[in-house]
Amino acid sequence: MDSTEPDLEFDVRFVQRLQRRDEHAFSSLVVAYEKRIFQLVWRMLGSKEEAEDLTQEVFVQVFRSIHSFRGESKLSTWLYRIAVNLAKNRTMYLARRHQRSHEDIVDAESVDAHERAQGITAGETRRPDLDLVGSRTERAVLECLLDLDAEHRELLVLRDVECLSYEEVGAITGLLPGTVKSRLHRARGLLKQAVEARLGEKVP
Amino acid sequence: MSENEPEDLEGLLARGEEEPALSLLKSALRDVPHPERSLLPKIQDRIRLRTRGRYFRSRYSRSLDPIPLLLIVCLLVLLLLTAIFLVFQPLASDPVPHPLPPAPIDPLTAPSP
Repeated sequence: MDSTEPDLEFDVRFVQRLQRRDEHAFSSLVVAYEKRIFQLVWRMLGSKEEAEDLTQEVFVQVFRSIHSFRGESKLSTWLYRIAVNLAKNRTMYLARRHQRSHEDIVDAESVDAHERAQGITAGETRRPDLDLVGSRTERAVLECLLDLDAEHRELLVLRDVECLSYEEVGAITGLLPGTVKSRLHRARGLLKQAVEARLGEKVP
Repeated sequence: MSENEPEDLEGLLARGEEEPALSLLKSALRDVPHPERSLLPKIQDRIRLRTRGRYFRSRYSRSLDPIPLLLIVCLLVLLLLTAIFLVFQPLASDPVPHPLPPAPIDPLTAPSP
């Protein structure tokens, strides 16, 4: 966690106000964390519209279930856990929807079109947001990250991009720190392979 | 672990092998788009709808910090009172003159009928 983190973490009274459904306390929480939650979710989904929508859902979920927060982890860790779980669910939903719409298209179009569409994967669908991202290599990295399965992607984002400790990543994902390390190692390898395959050259 | 203490083998291997790839990943995810404006009003709207207006119904409850709002209300009330005072103050300081009661008659000086 960075040093600019809001000073709400250990404020028991603040959490108690949240648990009493204090609207002003909740608004302060949103203002303090919305940017970070949005960034995390965008890194998991790769779409600004989806990230905006999901960030709102995260805070609605927080408002609904704040009474279950026991203070065993940091408030930010708890928020991250909700965000990561919702992002995973959304990813699965979007993948299913994409699969369904792809099947619909296949049903509707001719055999020639079917043949043209063969081989297209979710990873090869166009993502306009990513056109804004830096170099060709960076775009490839981002596209490959989004094509990884949700478990590997969340580990890479939480540990390598958000720079959380193994313990924090474990608390968010429900994995032991040792498991986090081994899966992270595998995730990095998979990402590297995918990027190399996409670029057709070796990544350092 | 102290600064001079060597890292474990896994740490060294991981750093040596994966640092360039990690920096690539970080640079790819460095430029994150931002929402045009705060999502707070939309979040409040969602909660208000889903709780059927139980929360975030009033303008007061939707304000981020109630203290400035209270201050503004107090200032407005104060201004209103001042205006009322200024309008009615001249009337209060210029009362309607009452006719003086007749002076008592001194029987010694009074002219005899």
